[in-house]
Amino acid sequence: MTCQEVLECLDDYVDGQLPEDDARELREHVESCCTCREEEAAARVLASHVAGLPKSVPPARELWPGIAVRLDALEAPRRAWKFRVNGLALLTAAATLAVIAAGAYSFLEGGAARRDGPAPGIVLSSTPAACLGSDAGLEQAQAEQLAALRDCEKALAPQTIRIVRENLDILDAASRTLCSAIEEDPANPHLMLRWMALQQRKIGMLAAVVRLSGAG
Amino acid sequence: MERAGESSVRELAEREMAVSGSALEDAVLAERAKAGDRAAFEQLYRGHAGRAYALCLRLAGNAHDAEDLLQEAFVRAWQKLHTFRGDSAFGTWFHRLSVNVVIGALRAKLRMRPADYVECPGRAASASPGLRLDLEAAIAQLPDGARIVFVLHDVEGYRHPEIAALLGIAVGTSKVQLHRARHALRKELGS
Ligand SMILES: [Zn+2]
Repeated sequence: MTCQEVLECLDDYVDGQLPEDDARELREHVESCCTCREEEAAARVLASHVAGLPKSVPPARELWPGIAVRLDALEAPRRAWKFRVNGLALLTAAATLAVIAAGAYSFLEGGAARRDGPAPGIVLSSTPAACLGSDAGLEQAQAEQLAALRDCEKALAPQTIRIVRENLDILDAASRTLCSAIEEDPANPHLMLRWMALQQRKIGMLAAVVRLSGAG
Repeated sequence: MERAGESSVRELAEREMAVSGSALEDAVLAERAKAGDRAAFEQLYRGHAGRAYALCLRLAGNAHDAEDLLQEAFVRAWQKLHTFRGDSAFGTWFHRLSVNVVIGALRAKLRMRPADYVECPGRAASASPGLRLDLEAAIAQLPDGARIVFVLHDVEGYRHPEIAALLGIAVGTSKVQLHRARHALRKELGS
């Protein structure tokens, strides 16, 4: 083997990929040639240093926020699309909301226990007009809801009550956001439909709570 | 059938345990992320960013591109999570995806600057302390083609046929690039 041939085979040799016959020729050459011996030693040193490179290198700066922003951008059109579909489905829901609400009202009224004071069906008072008209209307609606919830509390596990309250808070926060959106864009039918759907969820949840407390 | 399914699930769990204690945790996080749980995905990011950044940094040769590529890899992972079946560890799946993202981006660069294949490497930053940093700097200074083949082969453990397929080059070209890279690095570190 010539020096040039050794140099050409060195990668495969160091990687253990050189056929045994060639490897033997290479070893024979290297034993008698200083230059190639140094080259082979350098190749092994390089390989050992490369093997010692860290597997993990932390980025010098926080990169997650940039990723989160891009994920948001990905989600935005998908959410809008979902929303349109929901909007179509809610056309029916909007038309029948009054019926559902009335049904829930009477269900709640005739529920497990008859109660004095504000009926759990207070959600009905929380119309978009009330919501848009003043915060006072919204606050009263919430107060009534909580009063209704208190009526059921004794019959329910604290855990259940906590979950219900958390969910109410979430729904209320969503409701407030939607209200301000409706104020900015009163002609947007999607916003109104969403608001109605939100009320529907409240009714459904309160009805479920009353049902649970009745069974308990 | 049900029994076979159960046992394969158990085998999978055991295999993943053997690979890494965190692999199971990753599998759970990946399932949650698949369902749209952004917090779970962020945890996966926390667990895998360092490994992926090392890959991006070495392949790209500079921190600026590496940061872009790392972010791109995680965005792509989020989009492709539904294809993650859990038959390999999340780390393995994500690493493969990262390589594809980086190579996809760098291939365009390589096509735009074919002259890089014959360029001589510039001098590594001589001020960098320690051999490891010298080596990292020397790798970064390699011409794109040689650097990418070197990182894939010597650092990431890919074989020439895989590299050739990834880069759309001949196996012989991959070997030549590796040869150039190693030769340049030996000279650089020996000087
Ligand atoms: Zn020689």
